[in-house]
Amino acid sequence: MQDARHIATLIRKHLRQELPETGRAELDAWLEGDPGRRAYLDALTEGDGLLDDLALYDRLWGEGTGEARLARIERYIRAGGQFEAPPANAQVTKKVRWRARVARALPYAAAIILVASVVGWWAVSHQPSAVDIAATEILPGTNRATLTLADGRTIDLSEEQEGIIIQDGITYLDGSRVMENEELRMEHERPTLHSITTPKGGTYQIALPDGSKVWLNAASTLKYPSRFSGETREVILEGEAFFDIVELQGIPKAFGTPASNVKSSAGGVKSSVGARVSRVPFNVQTANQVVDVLGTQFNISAYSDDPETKTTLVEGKVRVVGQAEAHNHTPNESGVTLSPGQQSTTRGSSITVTTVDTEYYTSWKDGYFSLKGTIPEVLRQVARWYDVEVVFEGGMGRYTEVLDVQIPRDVMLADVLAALELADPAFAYGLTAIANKNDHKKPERRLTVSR
Amino acid sequence: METTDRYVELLRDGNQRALDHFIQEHVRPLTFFAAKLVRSEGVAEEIVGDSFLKLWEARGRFENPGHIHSFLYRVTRNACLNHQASPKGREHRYAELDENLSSPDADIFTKIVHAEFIQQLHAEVEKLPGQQATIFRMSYLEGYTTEEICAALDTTTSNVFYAKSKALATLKAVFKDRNPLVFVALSYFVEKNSFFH
Repeated sequence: MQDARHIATLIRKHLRQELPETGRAELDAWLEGDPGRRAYLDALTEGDGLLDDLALYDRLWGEGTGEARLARIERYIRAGGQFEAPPANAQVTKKVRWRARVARALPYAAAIILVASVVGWWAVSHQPSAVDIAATEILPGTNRATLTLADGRTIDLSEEQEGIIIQDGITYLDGSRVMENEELRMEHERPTLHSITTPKGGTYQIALPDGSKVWLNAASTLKYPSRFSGETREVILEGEAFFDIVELQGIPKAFGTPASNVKSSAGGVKSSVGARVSRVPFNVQTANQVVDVLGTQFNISAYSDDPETKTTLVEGKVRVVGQAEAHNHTPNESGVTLSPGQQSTTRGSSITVTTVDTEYYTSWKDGYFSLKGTIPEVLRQVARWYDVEVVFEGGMGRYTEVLDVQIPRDVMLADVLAALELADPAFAYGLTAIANKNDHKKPERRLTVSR
Repeated sequence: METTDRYVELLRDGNQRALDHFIQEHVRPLTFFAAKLVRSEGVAEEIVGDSFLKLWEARGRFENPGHIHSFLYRVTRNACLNHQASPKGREHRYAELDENLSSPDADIFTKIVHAEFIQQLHAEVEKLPGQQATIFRMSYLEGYTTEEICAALDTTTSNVFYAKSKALATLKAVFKDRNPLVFVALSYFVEKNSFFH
């Protein structure tokens, strides 16, 4: 299966002339597999067959008709299959009879739904409206991010790639180009701040010029210099990211030949704090604090809608300093130093340290929600990943129980909500899409929760 | 990949949610694939619905997601061929004189790849910003005239022209404007649907 989808991706890249060498070899191998395939590829962009097919696909699955069609097919399947635990017996017999008729009625049904959707379209285009949607329709987040250069240019990064490497130019992890060196050159005189932003439901990886890696979680922004100056390395974070920072010593030249001077923290090299005079510091600035990094792996969650900034250390050593303090003192004399397995919580100007299971705070980068907290705390993360707004009915005081849930991040929202239902039998929810077609904005998807 | 395999296990256990997962994953390109073969969107929809019922009936037999993918396309292709052979299908066939049907066995895998390709291309169109996507769809995919679009969207002719050209420019950028063949196809399309009606 991955095959057909993968070949389709290769063809699309081929048309955009963005196919890397390895992909070229794969595509050629596929083309050799059947005599008709090269003819297919050659004819693909001739005439208007492509646009006819695009129009057919749009009639099937475009905005408006697609959702109704999917709902219809799902009802059809559900009525014909032998599913267990049907909602009510009366309804089942009704559905079975309906299924017997549906085959003959389908063409008419299609026409009626077409008329209905045209009428419906007029209705929604003139006033905001709310429609119920199924949680099975809400898919998890994907690899999505926007790169903004210092001069204001923005680039939507490929959803088929997982991350970018920032060097002289910018490439994707598989080596294909995001941006040529020349296109960036005008800024090369002095380092400027670029930023990469993930939307709700987006995640991306960034390899910085020094070889350090950053995993950016949903609804987050990382600002980084186009190159590090050599004396210090500093980035600015809003939202959540996992950092794997390489220890770096010595002079700026080191950037050209990182292998001899860089030790990866992942390689198990423990940083010896303060021992190396020539260490190049790495700082992460967030709204409330500065993290002074000493060669390490750690997670920072600093969302603006969260009063607390949490720094969780997996390996190595970091020092966390409140923003106010960082301005008044030399960094060495202030803040708290974390050891592996410790977490600091910055709230206003106070910083507290606790020991935690770091898995709960870093699993997101490995594709899992590993969450411990009340339902509102769990749903705050879920909302960012599935791009839904959460509304709590009847106050937050009802959610006192601390849940412990582990859910893969690549499942439908329905699966996440089912897990919460299992964990808390009193938990109930409804999902609606609040559309306002006049604005041509994406409809807001609202998850209403009660217990 | 591991989680997809988990869905295969869940499907074997008779989990309805796993079926939902595979419907979500395959129903769109599969319906397109069927619609190309039978030349009827309604018939394609019914055939695909039946294919998922067959998947459910055979749920104990699958070992990996690839199995499920090829099973779905195989039963769908067979149902489409049966439909064409039926008296009702034959009407369609002679009415359409469709070259696709003259060689129904021509490399099925190419057709599957094509369905997946069109799905990806459509996703790119969907990514056009707001009104551009609406106007692109209405004018190029649904064949509305500029006047009809103005009336429906309550906007002016010049706005529609502007949005149309912006949308086409964006779509061309999708192809990076470098492939002359695609450029020709799009230009031809602009002419055919030019602003004279």
